Order: sequence, then structure tokens, then C-alpha cells
Amino acid sequence: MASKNVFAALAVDQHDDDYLGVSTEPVTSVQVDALVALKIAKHAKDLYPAAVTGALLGMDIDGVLEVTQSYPYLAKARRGRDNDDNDDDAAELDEHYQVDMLKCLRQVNADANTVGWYHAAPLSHFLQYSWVANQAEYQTSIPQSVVLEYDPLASQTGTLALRAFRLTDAFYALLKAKSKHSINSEAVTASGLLESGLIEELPVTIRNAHVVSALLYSQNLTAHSIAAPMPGVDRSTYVAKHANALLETLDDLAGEHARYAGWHRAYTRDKARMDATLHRKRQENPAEAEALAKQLAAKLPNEPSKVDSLLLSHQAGQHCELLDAFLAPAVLSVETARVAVGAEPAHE
Amino acid sequence: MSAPSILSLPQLQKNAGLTANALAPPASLAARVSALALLSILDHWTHRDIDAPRVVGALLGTRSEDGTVLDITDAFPIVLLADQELAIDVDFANTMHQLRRRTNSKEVVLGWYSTGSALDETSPGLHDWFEANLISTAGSFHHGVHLLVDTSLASDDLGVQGFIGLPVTTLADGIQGRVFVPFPVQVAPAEHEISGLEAIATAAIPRNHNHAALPQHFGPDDVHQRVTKLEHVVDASIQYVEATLAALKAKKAMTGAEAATLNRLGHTLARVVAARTDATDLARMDDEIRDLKTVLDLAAQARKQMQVAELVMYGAAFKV
Repeated sequence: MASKNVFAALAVDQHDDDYLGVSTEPVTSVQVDALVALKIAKHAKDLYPAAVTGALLGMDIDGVLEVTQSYPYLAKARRGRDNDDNDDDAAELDEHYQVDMLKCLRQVNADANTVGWYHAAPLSHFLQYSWVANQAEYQTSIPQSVVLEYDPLASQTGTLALRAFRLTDAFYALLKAKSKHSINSEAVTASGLLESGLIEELPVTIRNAHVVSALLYSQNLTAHSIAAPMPGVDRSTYVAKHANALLETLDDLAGEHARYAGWHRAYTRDKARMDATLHRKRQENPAEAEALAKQLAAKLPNEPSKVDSLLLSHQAGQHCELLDAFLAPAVLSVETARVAVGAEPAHE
Repeated sequence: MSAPSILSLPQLQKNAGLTANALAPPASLAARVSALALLSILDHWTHRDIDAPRVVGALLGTRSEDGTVLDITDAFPIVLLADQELAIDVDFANTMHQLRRRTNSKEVVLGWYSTGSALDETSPGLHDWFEANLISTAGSFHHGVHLLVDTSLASDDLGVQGFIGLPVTTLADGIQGRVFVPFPVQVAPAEHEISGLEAIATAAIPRNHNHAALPQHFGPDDVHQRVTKLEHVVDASIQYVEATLAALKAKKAMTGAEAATLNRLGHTLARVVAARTDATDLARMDDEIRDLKTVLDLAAQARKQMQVAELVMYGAAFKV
């Protein structure tokens, strides 16, 4: 009986914590409800291979962001993207949809508190400007927010590929301070991005309600009976797709570099011409030289934005990382199979 | 008396005035329920109002062309009002239905779910409402189905039962009602759910206390874990076969469920043996390893190149 009272007391304490739970502690890990993981997987599968997005609902308690509910955003294809009028209409429709959805979810006692968003794209191809801009928006309105990135293709080949990301403080500050086109290499170097990186990954945990665990045991869906395909079942296709995506990203990156090199050439040429003019001017009329210098400097070509090439090189880095992480165990499992075959007694 | 009433099958069969064709049970109706649909139902139950004895909602999914196989892929909750005759919050139900249709127009409402251990006197009325308002009955013979999920945890079983609700009219006294005929429901995770479900099942292991950390990358440790798992499965199979053999030698009668399990195990084993790697596969594997290593090299090279590029761009960046 005594133990029961202890539990009752604990339960009350926890309840109080919930109410005091609005914390300012930075989020260090993400806890995803089993239901949410499956909902994201289904949304991604329904519209595969298109990328999908949706909202994450929940709350953050003592540095753990608990995601307990989610709902899909409307597909972009349905929004008229042709002109501004349409876009406004679509945005309004979108807002209605979201308001209605939140109202409904609140009525069934879900946590109707937005804590971030999810994005699902095959091959973990997510580092684009729209993605970081979106996350920057979220981090402005909800400082603790994260984006859950789901990879349907990687999830087919092995373990659940659900990762949580935030923008690093340095990158967030840079995006907020400058428009996309004014982020040049000087701004990048000054922001400290080279040390801190663009995004940080947070560890993800899956959480079950007790009744979910009960269901799994009752339906004999236990860790031993669910057979997720071993990585390697579809090794070649998966690796080929990744290698292709890597090459494409590198192509794009080469394009960005060419653009940068083109600008650099034009800049050097114009700068040399300007210096020559100024040099002449200083000798003829030093008083007017300063004004002319300013005037000419404004005519120099602007450095192209650095954001795309930054994102592309990080995207290529992602592909490399994933390939590394996928290949090492795949090689290992092939080697294991070889040993197993060798150990088998010959039948013939 | 015109109130809808619930009648059991034997009662109906006793009743001579029953219209014959209304009771024609669908010959081979079967349903597969995805893990997501069940988890939605359980989530609804977990977040119920503190004094709510049960929750109900709609089942979403697709029908096979002949209408005999149902794929229940999703579910959404519906609010019940305590003090009205028709207990359903109609506005809520319609809004939710419309919202769900906007992100997936392929899925239709196939029926409704309720938590509880048995059908009760409100079931026919709710069923009538769902069939009249949400369930798409366009086309041929389609009646709504009902899924009863026993969340009471009163026994060791969290049972999932399926019923098809057929309308009946007895000629003798004109009672209108519903007869709920059980039909087989299989809890079958869809392919895209497997990897997620594996993580969920890992969290369900008692010592994990309902939490499972996702590995950020699949590493050698995971391979080791999987091989261990495989060993467990093989051990369990051997134990099972030995126990069955012992039972057969002792001439114990086998129940239908046991026979079905044994049959399934046999088929699975046959598949495993057929898929076994043998010596002829080794040459192919060698090729594969070579390919994999090439890609690994490519990735490593790409990385080096990028590091150089970054150095050139920022280390020697053009300063104005």
C-alpha cells in the first residue's frame, strides 16, 4: 500500500511539472511519438517520390522536445504557383486548413502547440534554400523548433531514417541579418560558419504509449518477429541512386564555382581598370579622386550569393556521410555471408 | 417500436420473418489493418476525456475492385456529445473528414471504430449514422465495417475484432436493426511501416521503458544486433519444432491455431532455404563488393575535393 502512495505522489508531481513545463532551456534531444513516426512515413509514401512537409505538435520539457502529434501540409502542386493572386488565395486556403486542423485536434485533446515541422525527401536531399529559409522562419517564431527529416528510401533499406535538425546559431544569425543575395564570402567568413557548420543534428528517440506496447505484444509484433529488411537487400540500386545524386550535386556545385570564377575574372578586370583610372586622377586632381573612387566602386560587379554553393557542398557532404555509413556495414554483411557460405558443408 | 435494436445471429435465425437477402453475408470479406490506423485509435483512447468510457472515430482506407478486400490504412477521431440522442458531433466529423480528404483524396471512409470489449445498444445507431453520412457506398455492395478495439487491458489480449453491419428488417414486427457479422481482420503492417515499427517494437521491450533511441547511422553494432536477432529467431524456431515433435510423439491433438502457426513456419522456412546464399552467389558478391568500394572511394574523393574548394573559396576569398 505504501508503494502505491509513492506512485500517486509521483504522478501528482509530474502533473505539476507539466504545467510549469514552459522552459527556456535549449532543446538537446527530440522524442517522437510512435504515432507521429508512422504518420510521417505514410505521408511520404502516399506522395512518393515528391517531397512532403507537415507540422509537428507537442511541447518542450527540460531540453527534450516531445513531439506527440502531427498533420500534413497541403501539397504544393495544388497551390497555384503561377501568379501572385493565386499564391495569396492558396496561402489563405492553407491558413484555413491549418486553423481548422488545429481546432479539431485541440477538441480531441491533442497537444495543439506547434513545435516544428517535418520534411520527407528520398535520398536525404533536403539542403536547399527553401528548406533553410523555412526553418529560419520557424526558429524566429518558435525558438526551440526543430525539423524532422525523414528519408523514405533509406528507411526501406534498413533502420528508420528519421533525423532532427536545427540551424546553428551562426547560420541563423547570418540568414536573419542579410538577404540571400547579399550573403557573400566575406559575410560567410565573418559569421563563424566555417567552425560551427550550417545545421546541427539532435538525437531522436521513439516513445510508445503503454497501450501501444501492449498492442504490439498482443498482436505478436515484437522486436524479434518484425523483420526489417537487412541493408543490402537492395544494395546496388540504393547505392547507385546515392552515387547519382552525389554526382548531380557535384555538377551543380561545379556550376556555382564556375559562376563564382566568372564573377572573379570580371571583378579583377574592372578593378584593375578602376585602379588605373584612379591612379591617373590622383595625379591630375587629388581633390576629386575620393568621390570618383566611391562612384567607381559602386559600379563593380557584385559577388554572387554564397548560400547556394554552401548548401550544395553540405548536401554533397551529406551524401558522402550517408554512403560511408551505409557502405561499411554493407561490405561487412557481404563478407559475413561469404564466411557463412564457406563454413557450410558441401552438399554435392 | 421503432428504436434500432441489436440482435444476435441466432436470434435472427430463429425469427421466421427475417428478410432473406439482407442477411447474405459477404462471401469472402477480409480486411487488413495498418499499424498507423491502430496507433491512431490508441492515441485517441490515450487522449480521451478523463471520464469518457470509450472513443469512436472513422476508418479510412481503400477497397479492392470487387469490394471484398479492405485495406484500412488510417483513422481519424470523432467527438461524442454526452447529452444528445445522436451522440455524434456532426460538425466536427464533417470538418475532420473534409480536412483529411484534402491531403489524401484516394482514401475513403470504410467504416468506424470504437473501443470496448463488446458491441452495445448504441452500435446500430452509430453505424446508421456513419453509413448515411461518411461511408462512401457508391457502386456495388458496400456496407460499412466496424472495428472493435478492446483497450480495457482486462485480459492479456488487446483484441481487434471486425464486424460488417448489415441492415435487417423483420417482417413479423417491423423492427429495424443491424446485425453485426464478424469477419476476419488481419493486423498487417504495410511495407513502409516496417522500419518504423521495428523502432517502436524496440521501444516496447520492457527493459527499454517505451523508449528507443534511433541510431544516427547504421554501424557495425547494428549488424551485430541483427545477427544476434537472427540467432534468437533460429533458436526459437528449433525449440518450437522440437516441442511440436514431442507433442506429436505423445499423440496430443493439435488445435487449429497451432496447425496454422506450424504451417506458416514451414512456408517461411522453405522461403528462407530457397533464398540461402550458396557458392554460386559468391562471384556476384565479389563484383558487388568491388562496386561498393568504388563508390566508397568516389565519396571519399568528392569529400577531399570539397575541402580543397572550401579552402580556396574562404581561405583565399577575395577581400575588397
